[in-house]
Amino acid sequence: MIDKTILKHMQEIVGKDNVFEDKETRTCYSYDATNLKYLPDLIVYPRTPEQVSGILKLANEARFPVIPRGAGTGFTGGTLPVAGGVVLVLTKMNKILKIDPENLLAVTEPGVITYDLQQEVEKIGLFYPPDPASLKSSTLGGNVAECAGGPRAVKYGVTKDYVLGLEVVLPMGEIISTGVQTVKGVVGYDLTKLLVGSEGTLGVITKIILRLLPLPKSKRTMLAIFPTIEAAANTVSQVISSKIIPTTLEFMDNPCIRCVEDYLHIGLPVEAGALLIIEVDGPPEVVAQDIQEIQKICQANGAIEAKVARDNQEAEELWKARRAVSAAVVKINPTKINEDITVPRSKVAEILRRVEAIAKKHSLIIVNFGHAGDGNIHVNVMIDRRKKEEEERAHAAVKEIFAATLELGGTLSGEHGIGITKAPYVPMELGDMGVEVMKRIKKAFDPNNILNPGKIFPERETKQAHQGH
Amino acid sequence: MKELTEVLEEARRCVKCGNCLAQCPVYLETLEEPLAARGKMSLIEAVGEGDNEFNKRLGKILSQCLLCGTCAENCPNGVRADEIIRQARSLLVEEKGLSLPKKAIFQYLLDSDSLLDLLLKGGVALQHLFLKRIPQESGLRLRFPVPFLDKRRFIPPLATDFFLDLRSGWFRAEKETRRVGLFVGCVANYLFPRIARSALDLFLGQGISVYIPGNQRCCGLPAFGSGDEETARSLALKNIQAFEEEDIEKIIAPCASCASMLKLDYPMVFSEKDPFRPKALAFSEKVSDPSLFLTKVLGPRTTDPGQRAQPLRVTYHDPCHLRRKMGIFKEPRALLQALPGVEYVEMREASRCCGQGGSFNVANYDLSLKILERKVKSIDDSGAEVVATACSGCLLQLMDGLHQAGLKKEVRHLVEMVNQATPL
Repeated sequence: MIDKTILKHMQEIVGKDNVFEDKETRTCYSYDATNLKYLPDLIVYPRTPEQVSGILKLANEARFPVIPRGAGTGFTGGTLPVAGGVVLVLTKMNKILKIDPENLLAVTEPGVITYDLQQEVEKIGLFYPPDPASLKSSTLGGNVAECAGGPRAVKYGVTKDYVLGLEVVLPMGEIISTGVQTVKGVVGYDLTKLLVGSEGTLGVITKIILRLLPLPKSKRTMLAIFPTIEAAANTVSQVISSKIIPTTLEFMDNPCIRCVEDYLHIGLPVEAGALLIIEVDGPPEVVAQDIQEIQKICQANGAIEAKVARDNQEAEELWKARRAVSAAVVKINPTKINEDITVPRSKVAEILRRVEAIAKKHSLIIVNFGHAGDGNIHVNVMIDRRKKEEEERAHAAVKEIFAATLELGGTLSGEHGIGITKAPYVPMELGDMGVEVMKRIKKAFDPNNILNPGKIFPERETKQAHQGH
Repeated sequence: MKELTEVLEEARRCVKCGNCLAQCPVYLETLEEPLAARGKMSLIEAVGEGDNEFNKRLGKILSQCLLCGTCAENCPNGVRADEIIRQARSLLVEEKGLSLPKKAIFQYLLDSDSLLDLLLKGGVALQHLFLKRIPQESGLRLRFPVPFLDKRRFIPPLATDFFLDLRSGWFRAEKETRRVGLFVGCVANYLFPRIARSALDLFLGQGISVYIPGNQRCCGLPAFGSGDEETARSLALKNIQAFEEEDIEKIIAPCASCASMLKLDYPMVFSEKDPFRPKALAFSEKVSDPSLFLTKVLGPRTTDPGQRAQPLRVTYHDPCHLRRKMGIFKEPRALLQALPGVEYVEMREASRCCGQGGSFNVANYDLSLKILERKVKSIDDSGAEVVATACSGCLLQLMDGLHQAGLKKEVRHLVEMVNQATPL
């Protein structure tokens, strides 16, 4: 697919030092956080939008796939080169171009690490809220392409709520700017919103204009432990209906609590049905009142314990359990099929009951944790991928979980995107015509289907994946 | 040595989450995936599964790791990528052999009974022919290019007298309360005898008798880290034998890298079937870093700021081998904070690797300098006049960095600081 002529052209565009064809480098870009592997043909590190444009023009002439990639921390295979081709690594385009406190915005290149931007803006009392778990390694470009979320979504929303505008290289190589640098703006179709969450299938993001907020003045954290899932779910509903919007409202179910206690030995009651970590932020007086109110609601719902952290250090202690959960659960089984279904907040208890029943039916271990405050549940089917039969049962269970989610008015993915792992299930939610409309949009942007092919839409043929373990 | 299948099994525990990208000092300078632990785990998997061979490119990639352990410390799945990478280097050496210069250095120089001493003694006489003095500093620089050493590098002069030539055998304390052995290490022996002298004086002053075997050798870490387990074992054996006859309660190694090699790696150098393994385990058991030992000996102490009008501002750099490998980071700080006339300041990212990484900084000098730049900036911003540390690799690296940045700051070993301030 990539012959000597293309290689030479590529070297002319980005310079020899930024093109790698050795198998070792290609292997290092064959995977993402799904731990699935597809070997690409070439690795390129561009530095400017013009270089990206040159590469895409070349790709259209010679018809090879181009796969944009940030840090490769996605959970659905968005950056996997399923049809081979060139992996376009954007990590080196990593400058923060502007932080503008007067207009409350920041302009960055796509390779900036999310956490780095947050640190920079917080230095001057500003705030970029989206906080995906991978924020210390993931790039803003990747966050925008996947519309990343995070625990703070309950109060502050997700990446799309902060993207004002973009500079994008379209699949045919044209460079366009979308959106605005203003609070308002309604000129034409909202291409910015279309591109956010498009998983690198419609364009390569080369510049991002982000909205910022003033940094909240204070924050309080509490940990509440409940005898049953229902008690925890009722608490969540009552907190929201009492007109308090917490910053985060995280939960862990009983198997998670057991795993974490086994892993950390921090004295969590292993019989407890669920655990909530609740955070509120804002002016100190308001925050103090809110956290007291929430504590009362927890107690009214029969919480075994509802502990408010006195300082940052205690707050960190309370977060320990939640932060350890991902690592702790892999002790059950090596492979984690990690779904991120989202249901209306009032249906959290109901979906958890259904997931439990589905797990029982298929004799699988399913553990749940996630963002109860926005209905986004991380459903983790714990299997050993080397056992084929177990994997098949897991896929059957996932399909039933998706059906239940849709029945309750939910969606298949809250923040991970579709990529390849969820692609077969997309028609369940969108319907055939929904998928068709999206395909037409894709075709309008990318007539030769060179940009990140094989993603989102179900039927495209792909090379056989080499599965990791 | 571990088999490829065992190493593969370990590498497979990496689920490719990418958390290490936020931690790896080498990745953060280059932003290229092969430099990160995750990339290297995928390559080791590929070798284990027969999809890749041990070739030159793979060797280069495997060399681009500081073995600092920061990735492992932060890995949610507890994957010891640093250890896996070191094991992969051993497998590579077993299959492809050592590079010629490494073979020459490890097997003929380090492991020879007298060649290194002889060569360096010649060096003492000749060093000013090859090296020019850097004005106003006690360092040297290469006059003309030499393979493997970059011309920009700050090189401390060889000591006129090597420590072990002047002092070996038993040094008895007046009112003996304890007996320890002193593992000197190459840098203290050949370049900075004052470190070993400080340790000796400090112990004697505390009523601790010290045994210094004159036939002790390099700890073997340079060879072990580069995958030459054979030389590492040979050196380990000589060191174990050097200390074994005497009645000593501890073996103190002031250099954190040596200490970690003697304590944590010797048990790995001798396999389960090795007849010398029990001796190695008994030896390792006795090894201690000086700060842990001194904290016990000196007991809790308080600062006495009254002794100097202008307190000396001191900061501390955590050697990877001390903090991450041995888990020691509170004791060195407490010792410094308790020194009279010292104002201790904590630098930003004190535990971030300085970029030395043993042979890493020879094979990847530019990369090493970039990582070092950030450390030097932290030191500068801290306002400290002296940087204390506890590892000879870090010591050399920090001297190089401060020199290249034109900063007039002292780099001292922790035991020198404590010795200067502790009345005999």
